Amino acid sequence: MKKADPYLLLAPAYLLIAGFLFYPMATVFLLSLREYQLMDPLNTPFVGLDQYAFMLGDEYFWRSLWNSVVWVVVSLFFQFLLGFCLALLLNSTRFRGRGIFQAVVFAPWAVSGFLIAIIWAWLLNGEFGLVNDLLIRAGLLDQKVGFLSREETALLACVLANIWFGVTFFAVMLFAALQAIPPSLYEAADMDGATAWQSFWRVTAPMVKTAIVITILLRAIWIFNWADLIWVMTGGGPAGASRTLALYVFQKAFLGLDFGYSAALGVALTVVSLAFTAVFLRVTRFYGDEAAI
Amino acid sequence: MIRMHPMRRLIQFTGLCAFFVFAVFPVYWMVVTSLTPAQDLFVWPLRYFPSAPTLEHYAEVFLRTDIPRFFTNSLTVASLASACTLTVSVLGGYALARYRFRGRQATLLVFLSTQMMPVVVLIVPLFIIFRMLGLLDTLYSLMIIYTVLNIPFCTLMMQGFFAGVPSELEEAAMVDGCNRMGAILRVAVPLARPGLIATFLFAFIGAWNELLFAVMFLNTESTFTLPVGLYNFISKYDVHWGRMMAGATLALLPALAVFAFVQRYMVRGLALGAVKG
Repeated sequence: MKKADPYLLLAPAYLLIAGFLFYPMATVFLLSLREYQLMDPLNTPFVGLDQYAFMLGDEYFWRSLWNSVVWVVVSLFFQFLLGFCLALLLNSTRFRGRGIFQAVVFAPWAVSGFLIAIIWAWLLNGEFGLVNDLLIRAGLLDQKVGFLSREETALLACVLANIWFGVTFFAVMLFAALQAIPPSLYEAADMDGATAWQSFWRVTAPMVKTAIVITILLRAIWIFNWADLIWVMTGGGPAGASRTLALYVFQKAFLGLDFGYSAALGVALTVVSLAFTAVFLRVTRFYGDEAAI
Repeated sequence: MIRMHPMRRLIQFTGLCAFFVFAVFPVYWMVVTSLTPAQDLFVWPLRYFPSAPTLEHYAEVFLRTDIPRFFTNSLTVASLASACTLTVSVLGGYALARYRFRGRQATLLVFLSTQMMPVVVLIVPLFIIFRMLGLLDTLYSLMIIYTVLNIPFCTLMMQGFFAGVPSELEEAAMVDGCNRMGAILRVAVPLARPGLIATFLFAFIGAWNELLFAVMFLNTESTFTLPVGLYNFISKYDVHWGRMMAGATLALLPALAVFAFVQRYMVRGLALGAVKG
């Protein structure tokens, strides 16, 4: 009886996760082997790997994959850079009201992808957007630009909104890591005559390396799978210029009503995520347990 | 303490101010827009301050749209889903914190890895499942999926909170004749109350903010949650930005109120690697 206790307590969690996360996940692959149009759900012939063959020849697929790479890499780069700067700033100063300051600066985390998207769509609006107004006043632009409706800028506009949202995440994670460095290490470095530059590279950097690697990997997976923001901001347009793979999966289901192909795209998305996850777990184990759980 | 160069102080001050403006400005602009009379919104160059702040957009939102109903729907779904999440994760988190059993490591690993699952892929199979269950176009479908999506992370979170509560008190209660369930409910749960509240609110924010499942599963306007209702503003009509921003401000308020409370726990939550937007 006693021995069964933990399993009984965990049973609801196991059942729900199995039924509504793992079972559907498993059926995605089976779905991808069928032709499944939502409008015709009783007629779903088995087509083998046809969906995948089609995918390899689908230029929108390759474009969305490339867009995903840009979306993840550029967003991450700036989120990390700015987040690390913010964490260092917060860590190096003490002032009255720091708690409130922290709460305010971290607040974007509470804003949903959907709200971020509409706020930034309005800021970047091509006719009455604030960004246009500021750039023109500063003399950086001659005339208004429709950032969301031009092929060259649509994806980067979404990246900008993503950066705004994600800096917080990095700042919180890295700030926690910085706070955990024992002050004695800096005192020792100081005693040995290290300059601020040297103590940054010899003390700070090695001590937060684990946190950095883990944060970046986690965030990469998460951003790669995140579709809401772009969907609301640009709908993936114009002409697929800002459509990422995650968004393509959603749109094939929601607009195209083509469940079979959406499932095949979903499998592709999952494979990439799994590869990331494998790297993530390897790295966290490499750095030791305390990092992950 | 470390001596500070005035120059260094200046750089720090400027940096902090820049981040402050960067974080606050978009939200500030949303609020300003929601208070600007319609005729001031569409002039060029822009006016940074409304000539006469007005609540007209809010009045329109309340009187001429279904947003109050969407708001109620969202509140219902998010509260019930997070209550379910909390119940399941209190039990599971307790088991993970107090027992050393075979499969514990595996459970932790599986829970952690679900956080990396591409959720957008689940939309199609879950649509089919909910259609079979006859739950499409009802709020139940959303309650179920929001509950499930939050369980792994919230269970890990509760595990952390229970691990921080000494187990001697429960043992004492059991010596005094309490059974295990009684010890959990009467001793461990009250002691871990701050953790319970934080976990509930994390689940709440997640459910409150979700858009893609809701937009896929709901068809009838009377069932729409707030994100779906607002999204329809964009896609259906020419966007009415003043009204849109008033609606957005209303949608943000509960999330911000909750955030003010949970931000202390955020570091722990984020360190678990699981908090999503």
